[in-house]
Amino acid sequence: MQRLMAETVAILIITTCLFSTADAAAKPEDAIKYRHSVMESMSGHVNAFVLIATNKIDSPQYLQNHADAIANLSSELETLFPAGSGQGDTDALPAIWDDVEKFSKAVAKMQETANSLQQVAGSGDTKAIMGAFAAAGKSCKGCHETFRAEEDDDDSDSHDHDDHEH
Amino acid sequence: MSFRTATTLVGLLFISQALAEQTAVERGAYLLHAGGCISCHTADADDAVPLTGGDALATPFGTFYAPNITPDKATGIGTWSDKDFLGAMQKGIRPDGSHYYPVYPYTSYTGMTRKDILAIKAYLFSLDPVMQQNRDHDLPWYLFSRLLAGAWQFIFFTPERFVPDTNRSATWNRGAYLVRHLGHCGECHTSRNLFGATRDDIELSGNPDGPDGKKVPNITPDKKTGIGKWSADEIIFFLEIGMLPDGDFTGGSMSQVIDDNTSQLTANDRIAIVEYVMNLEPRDKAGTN
Repeated sequence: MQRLMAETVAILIITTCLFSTADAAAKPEDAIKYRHSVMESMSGHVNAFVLIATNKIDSPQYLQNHADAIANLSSELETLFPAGSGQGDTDALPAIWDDVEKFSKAVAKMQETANSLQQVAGSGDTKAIMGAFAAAGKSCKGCHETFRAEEDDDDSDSHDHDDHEH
Repeated sequence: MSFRTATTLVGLLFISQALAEQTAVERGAYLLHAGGCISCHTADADDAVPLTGGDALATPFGTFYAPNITPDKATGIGTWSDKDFLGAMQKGIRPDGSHYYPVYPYTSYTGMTRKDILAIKAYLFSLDPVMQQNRDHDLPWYLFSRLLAGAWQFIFFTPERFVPDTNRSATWNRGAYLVRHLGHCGECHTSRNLFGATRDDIELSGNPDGPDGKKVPNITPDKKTGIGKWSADEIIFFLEIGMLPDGDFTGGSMSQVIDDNTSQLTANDRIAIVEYVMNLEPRDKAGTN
């Protein structure tokens, strides 16, 4: 009986492992949805960070929170672009998968600058904070420049416009 | 006059001349950024030497390569006189008398003052000359002759300097000078007619056929399709670091414009640009009111 139990457990463990391995490769549409969620979270924290850093919101105690979030989200970047997730409702350009080395370099730059921002966020030194923020922004921009199509929502909009004419 | 006074005077003359030159070069460096020269005249490669010639610029009228503008005598502009340089910037005429294709934004630079243009030249001539052969443009058969560029110029272009509008503030006028002329924003943000001339009647209301086939957004203060919902601070911040009001960062060719041009300006010049842009006629995407 005990042996049977052990075998059942073993089989259960093995099947669970098998299934979860099969599941590890997310469906492209889920990968894209997840990527967009992370990127939108990122822009939310970026905006919140700027509002505090430029003294428009008087909550200096939360500046570090947002800098931490930016750095944490940056650490996910590499896994946000699994193979196959360039097809579908996405502005991600093929260059991400065609020039892996360049993309990794751009991601590393983002992480490096986000970490510097995280380091300096609590210093109270506005000049250093905004300098680090500008550097991080430059990494965002640099990556978008090469790896993201810029004709996002604007595109569908203009087609709509044509359609409504009739 | 004693010998000593004379030598002192001569010495002073040299010093003041040196100072004047230094300021022209410094001013030129600033104006070169404001003029957006670097983005087109420099290749993308990490090791590219600035201003030695750019990458392919694909337009509906062919693919162009901006030339080497370092003072190299053989491949750059090292042999150019002031007159040559002014002719290129204000009239779109090459030193040999032939015409530039309007992909080179002389149609915007024409409004610049002689002083500003010569300051840019002074700066360019202070750089190390770099020998780098220019690439030929890759054009459709009907554009192979520059004669057509001359005909185009005759029809669509009138060289004229910027004249300040006395009914507007000094800030607005500075903004107009930067946006229309030095920064040549309309070269991408204004749509063109069938012959490639910018439609200044619908200035900055967006361009469906921008460089490299990209759409370029409407930057008039239209609330729906333009930047009418952006605050002045948001536009200033965008010009400084490229962040959009939703926390996203711009990509595409605007990213280069931020890096090489608008982020390098003084805070006052960015304010002037915003003053000008926010006071444009709001137009929707189709360019109508």
